[in-house]
Amino acid sequence: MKKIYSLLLVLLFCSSCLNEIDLSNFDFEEGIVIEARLTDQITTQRIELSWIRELNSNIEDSSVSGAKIELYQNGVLFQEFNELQDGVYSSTEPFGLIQGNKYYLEITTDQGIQIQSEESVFLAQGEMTGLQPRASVSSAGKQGVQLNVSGTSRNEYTQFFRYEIVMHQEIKAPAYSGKQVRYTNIETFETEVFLNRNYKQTCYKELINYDLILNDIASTSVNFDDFELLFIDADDERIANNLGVLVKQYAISEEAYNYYSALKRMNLSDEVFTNAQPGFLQGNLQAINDEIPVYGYFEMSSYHEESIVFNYFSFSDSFDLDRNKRYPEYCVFTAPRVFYQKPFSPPVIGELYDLLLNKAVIYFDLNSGESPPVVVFPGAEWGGGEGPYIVVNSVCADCSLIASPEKPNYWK
Amino acid sequence: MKKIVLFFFLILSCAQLWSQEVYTYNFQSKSRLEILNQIKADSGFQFYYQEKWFPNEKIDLTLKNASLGDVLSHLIANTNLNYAFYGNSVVFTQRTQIINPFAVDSSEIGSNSNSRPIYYSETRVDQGDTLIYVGKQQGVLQSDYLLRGKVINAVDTTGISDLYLINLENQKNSITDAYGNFEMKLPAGRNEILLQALGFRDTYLTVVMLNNGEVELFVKEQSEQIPAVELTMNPDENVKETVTGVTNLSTAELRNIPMVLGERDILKVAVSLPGVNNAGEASMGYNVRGGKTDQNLMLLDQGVLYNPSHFFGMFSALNPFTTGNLNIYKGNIPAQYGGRLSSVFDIQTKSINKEKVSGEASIGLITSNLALELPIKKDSSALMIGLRGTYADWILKNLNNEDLAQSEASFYDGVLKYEDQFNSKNKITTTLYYSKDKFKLTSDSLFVYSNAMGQVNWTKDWSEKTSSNLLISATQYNFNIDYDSGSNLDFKYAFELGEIQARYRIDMMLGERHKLNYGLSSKWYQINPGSKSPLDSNSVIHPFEVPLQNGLESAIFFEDVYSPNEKLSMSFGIRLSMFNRSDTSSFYWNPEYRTSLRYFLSETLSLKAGASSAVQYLHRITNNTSTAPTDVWVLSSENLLPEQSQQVSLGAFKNSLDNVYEFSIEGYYKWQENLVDYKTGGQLLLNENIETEIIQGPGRSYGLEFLARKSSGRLNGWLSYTYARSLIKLDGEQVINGGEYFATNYDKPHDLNLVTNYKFTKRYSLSMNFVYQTGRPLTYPVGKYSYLGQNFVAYSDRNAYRMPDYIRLDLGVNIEGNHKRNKLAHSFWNISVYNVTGRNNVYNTFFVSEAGEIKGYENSIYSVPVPTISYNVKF
Repeated sequence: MKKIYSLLLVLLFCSSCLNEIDLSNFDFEEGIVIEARLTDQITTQRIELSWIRELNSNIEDSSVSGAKIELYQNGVLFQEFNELQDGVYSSTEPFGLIQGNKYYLEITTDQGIQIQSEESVFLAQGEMTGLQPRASVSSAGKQGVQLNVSGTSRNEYTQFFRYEIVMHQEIKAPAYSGKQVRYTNIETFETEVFLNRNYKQTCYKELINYDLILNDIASTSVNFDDFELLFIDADDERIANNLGVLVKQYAISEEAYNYYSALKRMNLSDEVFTNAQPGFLQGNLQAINDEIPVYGYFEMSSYHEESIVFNYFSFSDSFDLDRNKRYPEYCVFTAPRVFYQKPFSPPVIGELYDLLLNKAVIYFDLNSGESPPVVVFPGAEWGGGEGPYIVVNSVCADCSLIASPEKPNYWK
Repeated sequence: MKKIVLFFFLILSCAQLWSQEVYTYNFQSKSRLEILNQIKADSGFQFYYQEKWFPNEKIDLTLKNASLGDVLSHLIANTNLNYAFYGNSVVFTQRTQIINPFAVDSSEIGSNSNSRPIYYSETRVDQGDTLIYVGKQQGVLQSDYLLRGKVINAVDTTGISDLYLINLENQKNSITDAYGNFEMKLPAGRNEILLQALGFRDTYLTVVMLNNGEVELFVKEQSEQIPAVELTMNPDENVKETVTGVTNLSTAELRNIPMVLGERDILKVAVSLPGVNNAGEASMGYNVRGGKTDQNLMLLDQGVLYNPSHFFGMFSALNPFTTGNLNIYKGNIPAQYGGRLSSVFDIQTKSINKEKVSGEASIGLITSNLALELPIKKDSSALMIGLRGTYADWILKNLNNEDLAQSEASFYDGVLKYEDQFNSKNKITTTLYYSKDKFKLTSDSLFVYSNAMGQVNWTKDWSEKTSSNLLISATQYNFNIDYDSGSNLDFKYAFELGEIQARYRIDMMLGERHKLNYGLSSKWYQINPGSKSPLDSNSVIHPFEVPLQNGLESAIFFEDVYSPNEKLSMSFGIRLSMFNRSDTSSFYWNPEYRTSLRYFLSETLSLKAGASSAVQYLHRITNNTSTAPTDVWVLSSENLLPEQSQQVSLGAFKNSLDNVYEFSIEGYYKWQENLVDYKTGGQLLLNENIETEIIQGPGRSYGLEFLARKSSGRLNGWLSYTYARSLIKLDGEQVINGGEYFATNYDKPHDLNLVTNYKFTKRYSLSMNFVYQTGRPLTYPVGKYSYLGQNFVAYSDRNAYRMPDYIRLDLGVNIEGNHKRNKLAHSFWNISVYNVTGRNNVYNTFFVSEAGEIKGYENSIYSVPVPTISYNVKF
C-alpha cells in the first residue's frame, strides 16, 4: 500500500516538477534599444543604439550603425550626433540641456526606421549635499559600511533621482619589488637582477556597480538625508585598502523614474517572490513609420556628482572582524632553478627560464635558504624550490596587470 | 397486498351496515351546516368538509326513515358537493365524485351531475392513478395542510431524489431530497398531484388533505429504462426557466463522472458545462463568460466563501456528501445578489434527513470524507456534520525521499448545519463552515490559508402568499506565508479579509403567474491588505503593515416575475447598490438592472433573451492567470473605480423525446468598464500603494455556448462547446499593446467537453470525460538586450502568445453494491484514471535569470495518468 501512496505522491508532487524549455524554439522579435540619457552638464553627450539579441545568442555586438540622430530644442534642430564607433554616437559639440526648454530626439536608422521621442520640457534640478560612509548592519545582519547620500531638489519638479556609482579599489601589490631577474647568457646560465619601473605597487581597480539605484523623495520633502546607495560588508576586500566612490546623481522626471522602477522589478531573478507583471514596457520613444518596438527611455536629467575615499580602517573601531584578504589575487612564492644537472649529462636550463619567458613570475628577493624564506601572509603560500631567487606570480608584484596605475580624476 | 384489500372490504362492509340506519328529519329554513351538525350528532360518523363549501342559504329538508345516504343526497342537492362513505367517515368533496372501485352498491356514492369521478383506493399502490386521504379531520378544516413523505422506487425501494411533485391546480411544486423525502403544502380537500422524475413514469395522484400527514409513495421506473443518471432536477426546466444563463447541478449528477484523486467535485463538473472554465489543473478560480476569477460570488448557503478550494485548487473545499445543489447564474443574476460582475455560484448544502440517522463516507487514497445526518426532533429539527481531511502529510513524512519528506501538505474542512422547522410557518437553518490548508512545497516557505463562514437564515411564512427571509452571515479569509530559510531574513506575511452581511427579503405571490421579491442588504468589509513581520527573534526584518481598508456595501433590490400567458414569462429586477469606503471616504452608488424574457415557440422549444448589469466594489489583485492563495483583495477607492458590466444574451432551448434530449444554444455580449489589470512591471505583493500599480480599462467579452445532453438511458451524458473571447483595452496611465484591445489572461476561444456514462448493468457503469481547451495567453520573452549596463529580457506584447492547448481524457468505472432491500448500507467503488493519455498539459510557464543566463521553465501538474480508487458507503 505504501508503494501505491508513494507512487501517487510522486505523481502528485514530482510530476509537477519543472521542465526546462528550449529557448531556441521561441520566436524572436526585432527591437531597437536606445540609450539616450542627456544631462545639463556641458559635455560631449553620447547616445548608443543596439538591436535586441536572440535569447540564447552569445553575440555581444549588436550595434546599430549608420543612424542619423538629431536633438531638437524648442522645435528647432539643436544638436546632431556623429557615430564615434559602432552604435555609439556623440554630439558634434559639447552642450548641456537648459532648464525650461523643450526637447525631443529624432533617430533614423540606415534602414529608414524613424524613431521619435515625446517632446517634453526639461525641468528637474537637483543637488547632492553630502556623501557619507558609515558603519552599519545590513538587512542581512552583517557588519559593514553603508554609503549614504544626502541631497536637495532645487525646484518642485525634482523629486526623483537615479544614481550611478563608479568605484575604484586601491590595491597594493603585496610582493612588489620593482625588480626583475633575467638570463644574461643562456649558454652559461648567467643571470642578473635589474630594476623595472614598469612594475607598479599601487593601482586603482575599477568596480562598476550596475544596480539601478532610484530614489523617490515625493513623499518626504525637498531635502533628503542618508539615502542608502550601497552597503559593503566589513570583510569585503573592496575596503581592505582605500576605496574611491564617485556617485553620479541624475535628477530625472517622474515618468523616467516610473519606467526604470518597472524595468527594475521586471528584471528576472531567482528571488523568492517575484511577481511583477511582465511585458513590453513602452517608454517615451516610438518608431513612427514602423511597428518595431523601441526599448529605452530618452532621459533628461540634472547632473551632479560627489566622490569620497575611505577604507576599512576608518571604521575599524566599529568592526570586530579579523581581516585576512587584502589583495584580490592569490600569491605563490617559489624559488625555481636557473639550471639543473642530471647525473652523467650536461647541465640543462631550469624552470625559471620558461616562467620568465611566459612573464609568469617577477623577482621578489634573493633566496636566503631559510624555510620558508618569506613571510607567508594571508592569501599567499610558499611553493618551495631551491633556486637562487625567490619569484612570485606576476600579479602579486605588479598591480598594473590587473588594474590601472593611474589615479582616478576624482581621487582626492 | 391481498390482506390490505381484504381489510378495506371489511371496513367498507361495516360502513355499509352502519349506513343502513334510518333517519327522520324535518328541518325548516335551516342552513345546510346546521342540518349537517344535527346529522353528525345523530349518526356518530366522522364528516370531512370545509364549512365554506356549504352555501349559506336556508333550506327545508323533510325526510322519513331515510338512509344516511339519502339524507346526505338531499342535503347536497343544488350544490356542487359530492360525498362518499369511507369507513365510518363521510367525505365531502367539491365538484368531484368519488368512486370506490371496491364498492358494489352505488348508493354509498352521492353525486351531482357534471362532476367527473375520481377513485380512491389504498394509499400504498404502485401503479395507476390513485386517491389518497391524508390525516384525520379534527373539527373544521384549515385552509391548507402540510404533506410530508417519501417517494420510493417501487423496484428497489430506494428513495427517489430530485423528483418533482407538482400540484396541478396551482402549479406549485416541491422536490424530493437525496433520500426521496419531501414536504409540500396543499390546500385542504382534493388535490391533483403529478409525480415526475427522469427515468420514472409520470404518476398522477389525488390527495385529499384532511390534516397534516405523511405518506409513502411508490413510483415505477419507465419500462425498459435504467435510471442511470439524473441530469436535470426538472426535466423541462431548461426550456421553462425565465432567467437566462442559469446552470443547475445536483450532486446526483456527479455520480457517474470520473473522479480526480477520489473526489467528486461539483465545481469541477461545473467547468464541463458551457460558459464556465478555469485555468487548468491547480487553478483556484473560475472564469465565467470571459470574466476574471474574482468576478464570481461564491456562496455556500448564501454565506460568502473566498477560496473554496484546497491545495492550489486541486481539490474543492466542499464536502461532496453535504453538498446538495449548485446554481450558477452566469447571465442574469437575480437582483438579490450583487457585488460581482460575472456570476453567482449558489452552492446549497443538502436538506437534512429528519427521519432517521443517516450518512455517507468515502475512503480514498488522499482524502477521506464523512457526513452524518442526525435528526434531533423527528420531522422538525436535525443536524448535519461533514468532515473531510487528507493524510498526505503523514504519507509525506513516511517517505524515503528526503525532498518529499520535507514537504508539508495538509488540509481539512468541516460543515455543520442545523435545520429547525419550528412550526409550519417558521424555519431556521444555520451553517458553519471552516477549511484550512497548510502546505510547503519548497523547503523555506510555508503557506497557510483558511476560510471561515457562519450564517443564520430565518424563513417565515406570513401568509400563504407572503414570506420573508432574514440572512445574517459572516466570513473570514486569511492567508499567511512563513518564510523560514534559516537566515535572519525570515518573515511572516499575513493577509486578512472579513465581511459581515445582513439581508432581508420579502417574497410575494401576487397570483398564479406573478411573483415578486424585494429587500435590502448590507455588507461590511474589513481588509488587512498585508503585513510583514520578523518570523523569530533572530530575524532582522522590519515589521511592515499596509493600512487597513474598511468599506460598507449596501443595496436595495426588487424583482418581479410575471407570465401574462402560458407562452411568455418575463422577469424584471433592479438593484441599487451603494459603496462607502470609510478609510478613504470615497462613495459610489450605481443602479443595476436584471431583465429577462422567455417565450415558448412550441411546447418544447423556447427562446430566451436577457439584459443585465452589475457592479463590483471588491477586487482581487493577481498578476497571474491562475489565482493563487497569496492574491490579495482590495476595495474600491477614489483611485480604484468600481468595475462595471452590462450583458445581453439570446438563446434557444429545445427538449425532445420526452425531455430525454436537451439542446441549447446561447450567445452573449458583454461590455465591461474599469476592469482591473496591472502595469507592466507592477509590484503587487506587499505594496502599500498597490493602486498605483493598477490600471483600469474597458473590456469586451462575447461568446456562443452550445450544449447537447441525453439525460437518461444506458448511454447518457453531455457535449458542451463554447466559443468565447475575452478582451481588454488599456490605454490610460500606461499604454499596453499600443492601446488596442488584446486577449485577457483567461481568453480561451475554444472549450469542448464531452461527459458520458454508459451503464452496462444496474451495478456496473463506465464514465468518460474529455476536455479540449485552447491554451491560455502568455507574455513571452522574445529577446534580450543590454541597458544601463545590465542585461534585460525583451518581452512580447502582453498576452501575444499562447500556451499549448489543453487536452485531457479521464475514464472511470463505478461498481455499485447490490440493490437488495433492507440493506443496512449501500456502497460503491469507483476506479478512475485521470489524464489517461498522460498528456503533459502545461500549467504555467515562467522565466528566471540564473547567473545572468535566461532560462525558461514549464510547470505541469499531472503529466502522467493518475489512477484513483475510492470506496463509498451510504447508510
